[in-house]
Amino acid sequence: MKLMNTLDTKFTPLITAIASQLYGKEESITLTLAAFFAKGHLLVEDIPGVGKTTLARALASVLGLEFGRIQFTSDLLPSDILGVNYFDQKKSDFVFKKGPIFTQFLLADEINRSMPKTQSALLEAMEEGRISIDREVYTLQEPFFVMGTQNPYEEVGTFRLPDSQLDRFICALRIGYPEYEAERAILSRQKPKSIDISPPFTTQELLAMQSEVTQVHLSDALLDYLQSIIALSRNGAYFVHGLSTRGALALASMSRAWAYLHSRNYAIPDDVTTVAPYVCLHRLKFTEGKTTIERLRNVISENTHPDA
Amino acid sequence: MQSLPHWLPTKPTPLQLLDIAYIVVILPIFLILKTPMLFFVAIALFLIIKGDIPSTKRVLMLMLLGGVAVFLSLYGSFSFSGLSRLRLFVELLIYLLLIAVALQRLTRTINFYLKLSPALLMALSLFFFHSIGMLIYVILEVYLLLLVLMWAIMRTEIRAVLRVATLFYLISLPMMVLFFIFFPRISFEHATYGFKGEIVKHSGHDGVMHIDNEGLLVPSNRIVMEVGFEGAIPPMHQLYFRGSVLYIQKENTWIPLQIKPKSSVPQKYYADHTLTHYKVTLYPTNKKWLYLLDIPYETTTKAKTDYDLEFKVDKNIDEPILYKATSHIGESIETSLSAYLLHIALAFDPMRNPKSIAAIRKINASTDIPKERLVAISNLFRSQYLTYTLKPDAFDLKNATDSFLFDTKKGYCTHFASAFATLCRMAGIPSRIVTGYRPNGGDSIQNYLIVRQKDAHAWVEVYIDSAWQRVETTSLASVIQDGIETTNQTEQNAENQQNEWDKLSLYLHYIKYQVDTWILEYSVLSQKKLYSYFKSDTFFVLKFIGFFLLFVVLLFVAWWIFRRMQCRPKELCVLSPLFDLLAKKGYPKDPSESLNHYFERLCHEHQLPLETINLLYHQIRYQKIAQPNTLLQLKAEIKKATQHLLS
Repeated sequence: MKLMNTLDTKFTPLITAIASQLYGKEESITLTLAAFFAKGHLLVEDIPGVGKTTLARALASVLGLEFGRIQFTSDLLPSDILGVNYFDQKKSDFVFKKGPIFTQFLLADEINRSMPKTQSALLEAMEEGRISIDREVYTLQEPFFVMGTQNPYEEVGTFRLPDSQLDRFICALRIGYPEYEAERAILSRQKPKSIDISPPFTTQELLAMQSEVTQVHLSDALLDYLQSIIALSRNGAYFVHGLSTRGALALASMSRAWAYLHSRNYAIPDDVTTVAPYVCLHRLKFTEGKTTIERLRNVISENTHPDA
Repeated sequence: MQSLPHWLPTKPTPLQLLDIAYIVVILPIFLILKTPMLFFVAIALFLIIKGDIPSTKRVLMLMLLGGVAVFLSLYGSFSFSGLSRLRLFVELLIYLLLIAVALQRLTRTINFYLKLSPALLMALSLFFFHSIGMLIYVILEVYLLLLVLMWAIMRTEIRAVLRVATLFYLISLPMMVLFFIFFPRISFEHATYGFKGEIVKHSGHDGVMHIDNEGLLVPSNRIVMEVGFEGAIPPMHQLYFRGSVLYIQKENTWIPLQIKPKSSVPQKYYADHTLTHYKVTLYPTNKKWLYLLDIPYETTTKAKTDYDLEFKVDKNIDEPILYKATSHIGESIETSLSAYLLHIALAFDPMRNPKSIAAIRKINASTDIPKERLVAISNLFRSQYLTYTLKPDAFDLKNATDSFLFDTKKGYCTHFASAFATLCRMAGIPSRIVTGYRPNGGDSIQNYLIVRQKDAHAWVEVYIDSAWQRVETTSLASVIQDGIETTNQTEQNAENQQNEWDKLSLYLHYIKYQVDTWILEYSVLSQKKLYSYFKSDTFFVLKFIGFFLLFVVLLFVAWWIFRRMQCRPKELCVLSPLFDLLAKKGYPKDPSESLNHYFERLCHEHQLPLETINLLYHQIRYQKIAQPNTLLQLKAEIKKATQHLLS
């Protein structure tokens, strides 16, 4: 008999393939995958050089998605992301030149470096799944997945994303430094291996899986538990302010996706407990001290009672 | 219950919790606060609700206001000697505590004393209320305080808190009962704490009569009997319920005759229309007397009567009894007086009360006719401007009559009666004291009358013109201070009561009486009585322990049922024996871990075959449509796992 927390075998090759690029970060990888299947977007808060880009590239390649990347800088303009109408002299007409956002997997690197105007252009596109320029509406491709990164430690020349904007990312993670053994493996290898599997799913299959995730059942007992976490975030004992309803929805979607990745068509409390810290990381702020995954996990497990 | 968590979704802050505790304990205290103190509390409440932290200057102002409020509240009763009255002392304590709490609460910082004070206030408020209502409130209060405490400690939702608090409460009940029974009571008799005896001397008829030196007579509202008249109630001033007749003055105690002479019962031929018929419900007095109206004629119970017209039964009355009686309302009993009784009814101690003897000598010299002497004695009483009060000053016990009549001039019925009887004897008029009850009429509706312990009374009968004639000695008082309280107790009068209803109400009163005796008036005396039972009667000890164990068992059953009732959903209930077994085998569940985590941990680390159970449980609980017999499967799997664990 199989355990409840074992990954669906159809996803294990994916994870192994990515893990061959990013040593010892299976949980981050699975979480990224869950964010993708939950039709959300992921925020990675970390310092440069811990493998954000590697993770993004590897994921895009194993999922067989078209990969795009924007490096955000302070002089980046919205049109640099979305695209621009230019006058084609041959055609004597305005022609829309698509920006880098017209892709399936977008790595938006260091979004907090750009101006708020540019940030919100991206975030609106993420939310709506389409953009409008000069009264023309352009629908983005499906699936569309954004992995935004921001450097949490640099303050100079950055524009912190407001909380309301951060809310649009379904979850956030910190990759963190690798473990001792993993780092040794990275150091000792001669040259990076290339990914050696062909994408196991077609785009249609991915879209089908995304819609299957929405069918994952949340029972009353589970919703009770989920709401107890939401209530905990709002009671004022630990956090400056609580989860928004969008945040609550994100928690539900992520729980569904996590259950789906573990080949279940119903979510159990462990799904919620596992994803909750990542859903809360960029949404909640402790009244005292730093907000970390570990602290969030501890507070949630100490104050809520699954299976009660 | 289901909607309660939604109603109270978030955990209140510690300050809010403390406020709840204070509201619970201060509610009854509001009843004893005097107006200035109420005013102070209102101001403090206003400031607290306003919410901002006041400046030091304002706090000082409030403190000053509190001081003034205390002064005004206790104005008149406040003196250092007055403080020796326990009630006043406790009242002062409560006021001071309230001020301290209000000031601390204003700062919005919680300190140890603010946390402790609800318990203190609750304990102090117990001094003021001795009613069943308060008893119920206190039981509830303890529960609520426990709930608030649990709420503060536990960081979970209200439903869990309610459950834990209730369980704790149930477990603690036997301890509370033991504590209640054996906790050392303050013995006011010995004035251990420097307080004057206040509780010891409850009013009531007890067959003898003491002339006390110190002591405040506390009017007790305990019902002695209920009387239903056939027809209207006779005029109140004629209602004297005859109890015992006292002849012998032994120092400061009047006692009945030790050996009753075999004199005949006084002749009694009254015309029918002069008789009053009535029905009495007498509550347990633990004495033998039945109380009949003066002048008793006959009664239905097997009571023996005698020359003094006392009616006594053979056994102490320890349960409510009902009797019908007939009396002739009058004040003189025509009868003969034997030489033996004459001798006793004239006895007094010539060594005592020299001033009275001197005064009587003058009266005796002026006239020989007993009636005129009687008038002269009454006039002597009136000329002294005596005060009727329940709080007399201290007497010179050696010459109590002198002291009462010429020095303190303050007393209540016993002092009046004793002094009058003594003076009559000095004047050669045979006299005796009758004790019993004289209702003041506050407790009557139509033909229904309630006699309470505070209605206990003593009066004098003098033998003049070959009849014992009643003299209402307290009417000789010139001033009446805090005398007969008029209580507006509205007692339900049920005319033409049915017999069954009679019985039911009798039993209800009986339960009330038992609660009164064993809980509300449970004192050092009751404790001593209990201890003496313990010492003398091993069967009683066994019975006590048996009842206590029964109580504990009942509580345990209640606790168990409560736990069972809380045991939802079913799949968890089914699992709980397995959890207990696992915990016993050394694999306890960490309270913060999920079941899945727990089961998988056991599978991984201890190779226990629990995967199927885990899967089935989660399917039942979280799957959209569970298979119909999954619960049965789960039960079967649990059985298997249990066998595996036990083998």
